[in-house]
Amino acid sequence: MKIQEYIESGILSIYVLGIASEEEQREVEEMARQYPEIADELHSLQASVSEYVSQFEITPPKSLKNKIMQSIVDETPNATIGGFKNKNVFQYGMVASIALLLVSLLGNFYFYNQWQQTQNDLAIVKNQNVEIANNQKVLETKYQELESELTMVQNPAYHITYLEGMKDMAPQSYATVFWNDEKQQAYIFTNSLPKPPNGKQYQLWALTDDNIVWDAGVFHWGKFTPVKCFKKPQKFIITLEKEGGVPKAEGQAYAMGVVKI
Amino acid sequence: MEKEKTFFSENELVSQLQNKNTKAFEYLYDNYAPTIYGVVVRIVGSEEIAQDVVQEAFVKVWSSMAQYSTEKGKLFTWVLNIARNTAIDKLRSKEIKQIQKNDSLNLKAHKRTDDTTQQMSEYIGFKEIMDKMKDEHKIIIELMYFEGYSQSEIAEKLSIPLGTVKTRARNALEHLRNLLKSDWNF
Repeated sequence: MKIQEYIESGILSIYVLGIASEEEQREVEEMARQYPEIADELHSLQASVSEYVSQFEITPPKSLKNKIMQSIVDETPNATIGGFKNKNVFQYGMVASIALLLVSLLGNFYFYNQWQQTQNDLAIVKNQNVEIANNQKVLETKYQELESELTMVQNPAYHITYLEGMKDMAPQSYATVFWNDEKQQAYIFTNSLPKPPNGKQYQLWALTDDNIVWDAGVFHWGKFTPVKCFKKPQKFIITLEKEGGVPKAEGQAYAMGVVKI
Repeated sequence: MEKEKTFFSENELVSQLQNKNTKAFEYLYDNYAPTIYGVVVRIVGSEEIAQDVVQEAFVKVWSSMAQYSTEKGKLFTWVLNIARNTAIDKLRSKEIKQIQKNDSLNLKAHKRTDDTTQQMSEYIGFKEIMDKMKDEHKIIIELMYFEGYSQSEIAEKLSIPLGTVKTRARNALEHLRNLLKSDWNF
């Protein structure tokens, strides 16, 4: 049998052990192509040799792998990396790098602006805080004033007289005088009379039961202001005078109230 | 981006390598390099030279993948042959002869590596196979595969007729194959 003889001749073993001459190599390869039986035998012998030599395995140094990977990449411009063409990967890589750089620059610019904006906002907020703190102080003061005024108003020792706006000057306006003739203390408040123009001030007058008109003093519009108090007042009149007030009423009367006890 | 392959079937590996996929090549290297390196070290007797040889061999594999087809046998066998032939060529070159003559340390290193790998092989039963192998078979494989002597050189060295070199080779491999088979079957 030709095939069996060929196998037993040992030429396949020589081939597998790598010392067949070139002529023998060509012959073996040709025979293996023609006869599957020969091919099978050849592969079986190769498997044995592979297994035999694998007992000599030594782990190569890591640097060797790096060197080899580098040299195959270097010599292959169209190598594929993970399914992509190498060239393309570099192109994608370049494009991606530039894109990333741009994004990063834009990001820097954006965040710098954001930071600046934040600094500005922070400064504004700080100012606002100071303002709010100031406002709060003002409000606190006002509140304390109001509280003491309220206490005063609730005090039954205080009489309250409402002054009505004069129909020709300030209809539907009013002012309130709180007065305590025992303690000789009086206050006035109005914000419903027209706000006095610059250089002018309202002045309060008191008419006592002896028909004398007393100067109770100028007061601040919109503020709870202490004024002079007189015994047994009958009427209160408000006139608009020049700033600082006048000894004797000159200006127009704006409001008047009759004391009711 | 395609998910990285952690496993390639042989057919996939071949087609990816022919596609010049470096991931496939890395896979090939990771799986084959230890044996290839071990064989080359055993042939050239120096790890330093072996590294050059292994590099040359793998680059050859990469650039000549188009020439590989499954009818040439297993991919591993093909790669192993390229490496083994490259190593034998190196061994035959003047360069290495000079080194071997002048540097006995390399031979010592060779010997030591050999012992270590044999120890390491114990747990997979190779020590047993090496022990069971007849010296004449081991010598045949050593002279042919690892030293690459020609058939006539071997006939001369062993003082046997040239015509019996092939049958010696066949006997050695037959013997080895039987040992490996019985190793699989116990």
